[in-house]
Amino acid sequence: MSRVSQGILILLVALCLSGKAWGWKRLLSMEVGPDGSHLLYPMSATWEKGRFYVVDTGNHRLISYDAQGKPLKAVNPGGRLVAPLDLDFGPRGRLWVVERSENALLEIDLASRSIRPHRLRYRGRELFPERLVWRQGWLYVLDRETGGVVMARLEGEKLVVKKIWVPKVRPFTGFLDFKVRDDGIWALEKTTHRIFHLSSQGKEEVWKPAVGLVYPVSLEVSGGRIYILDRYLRKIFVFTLQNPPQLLYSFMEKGWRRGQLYLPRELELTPEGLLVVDEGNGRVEVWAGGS
Amino acid sequence: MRGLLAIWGVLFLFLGGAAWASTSCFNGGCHKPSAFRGPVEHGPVKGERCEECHYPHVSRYPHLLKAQVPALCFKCHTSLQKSLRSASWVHLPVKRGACGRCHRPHAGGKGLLLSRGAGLCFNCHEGLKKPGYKFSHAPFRQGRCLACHRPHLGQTRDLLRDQGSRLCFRCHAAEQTVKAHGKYARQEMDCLTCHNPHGSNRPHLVRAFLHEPYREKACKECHSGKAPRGPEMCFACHRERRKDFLKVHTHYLRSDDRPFCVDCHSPHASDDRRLLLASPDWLCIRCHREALVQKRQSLYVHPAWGKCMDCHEGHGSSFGGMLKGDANAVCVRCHKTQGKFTHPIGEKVKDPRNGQSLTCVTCHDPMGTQFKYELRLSGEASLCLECHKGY
Repeated sequence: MSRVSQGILILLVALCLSGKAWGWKRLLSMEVGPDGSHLLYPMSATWEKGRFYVVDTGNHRLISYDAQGKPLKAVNPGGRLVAPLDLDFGPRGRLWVVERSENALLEIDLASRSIRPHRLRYRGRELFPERLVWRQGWLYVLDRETGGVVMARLEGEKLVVKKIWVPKVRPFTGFLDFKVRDDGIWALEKTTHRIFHLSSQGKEEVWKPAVGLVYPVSLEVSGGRIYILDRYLRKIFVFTLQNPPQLLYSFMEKGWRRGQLYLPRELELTPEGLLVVDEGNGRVEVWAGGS
Repeated sequence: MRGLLAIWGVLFLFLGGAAWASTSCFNGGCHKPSAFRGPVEHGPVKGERCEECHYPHVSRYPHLLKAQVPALCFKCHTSLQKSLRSASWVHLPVKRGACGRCHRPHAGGKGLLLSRGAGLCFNCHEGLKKPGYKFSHAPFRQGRCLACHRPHLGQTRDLLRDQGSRLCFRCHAAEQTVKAHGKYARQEMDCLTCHNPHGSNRPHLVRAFLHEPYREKACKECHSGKAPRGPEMCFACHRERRKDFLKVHTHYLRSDDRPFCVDCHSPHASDDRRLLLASPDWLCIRCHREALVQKRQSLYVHPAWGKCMDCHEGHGSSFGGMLKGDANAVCVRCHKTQGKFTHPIGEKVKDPRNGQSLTCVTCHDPMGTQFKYELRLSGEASLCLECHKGY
């Protein structure tokens, strides 16, 4: 076989392999608000009833986008948002925001323009919320005080912490991110890169991916895969959903243009695709089509 | 006749080949045996098996070695290679495969070390050479670094032989030592949070700066059932510090039985004015391994690397990377000229790639890059072409 033929063969094999890993395609980028100003340090994003919602932390506002990524509306209810970190929609369609400057969760009723702050306490300790998600009437909050996941419910107008999941294993450095799924809670521990799973029956498991992650900051679990976002390597690593997780491939690269990552912070799977929040580039992108 | 010649040929090759090392190297007058002798001799040298490491005629490697160091060393020292793979921390020369930085290949003192005592360690750890302590720890004074540290790998970054107080209790009787510290001391406490294991100007090797309640012997301010739990214990006095943690980027950590503040600060004594448990380049790296990875993968690193607190806040910041200000303000404090005369930067100058304001760190990465002046890409052209497409 001539050298030219060998080269073509290598190129074809490489294309096939990269095609498998790069099945992901960028669908859209959200990088400006309705007034045309760029996002600044966006920290979180979510999807609700056909719209994307982005926490534009540096500009102290929340922005909604339509399914095509067109900015619709930017709000700072009551001027209360100083350092918003995360948002989700709770019961009665109310917007819940983690507001760091007050160390509180803000329950925002956009219709009546009312805001109710909730401070989390558990057994005499004030908690320190970082991320939140509402699911089936339960509020799950990532708490930096205990490092665990808080489970709370609304009792009338009052938010009551029912329990906190802090893994039994020691040493434990605290979670950086978590996701609530049908099979329980999945959480990523800081520094050690361990993945914890708390099943619906209360069984706790500890998994550790066997690859050279450097600074993983967010995880997502779906379709028999674990996705881990590495802030230092600027890549999303895709693992099999088994213990220990086996690396299938990674995608994304460091850069400042669309489709590239600079200081990524969060992953979230939505019906539209995988939301990737990039704090450094002031951009939220949606990726889809990967295997 | 041909058959006989063939047998003689084969015998010559086998016998001659096996004998060359012991005869040719030393007996030919080239390599004096005395140069390869010492109190401790490397196994192959002792057995005059030069061929285990060297080729007799030609090689791709210096000194006619059969392979590069450390691959050559690991052919025999397999258990060391195995343990390196699973080690948490590896001594830098070992990680770089520079066995020759500490060991002689043929003969020498114990462990085939290049020199005896702490002199060898001080070749790199220069800061420990003349610390000028009024009081010093006996093993340190006697240059017995290996009494406490491992030379190759360890569970801690300082490669200690054991963790926490367990290391100290190897010499200092546990029960008596704990008893001498009063009712609050426990065996599992880490002695190094208050004592400098090398030396100090205070008796009992207590570190230089003391926390006020500790100095005033007001132990109950913290050690009592009435004291608040978690970080509130510290915030009760350090009220202003609470506000630092109400910023976007914070170091608010998990508190177990103790406030998380003691993850970084000593509640009793420290060699740092801020009562940090160690210098920032050690303390911060415990969690921020990525900074160490980046440094080691870079050719150019900012000279202040390791003085983390020069640019970063320790508690909280409203700026990305927990910087002390926006990325221009932080740099201009030292780089004053660049603050006045430089490529346009500031809030109104936007990066065409992502619409973010242009700052010093748009083009430079002080944590380390492959390019001069810590540029993110080559300053010859590729960095500029990122934005200036027309050129």
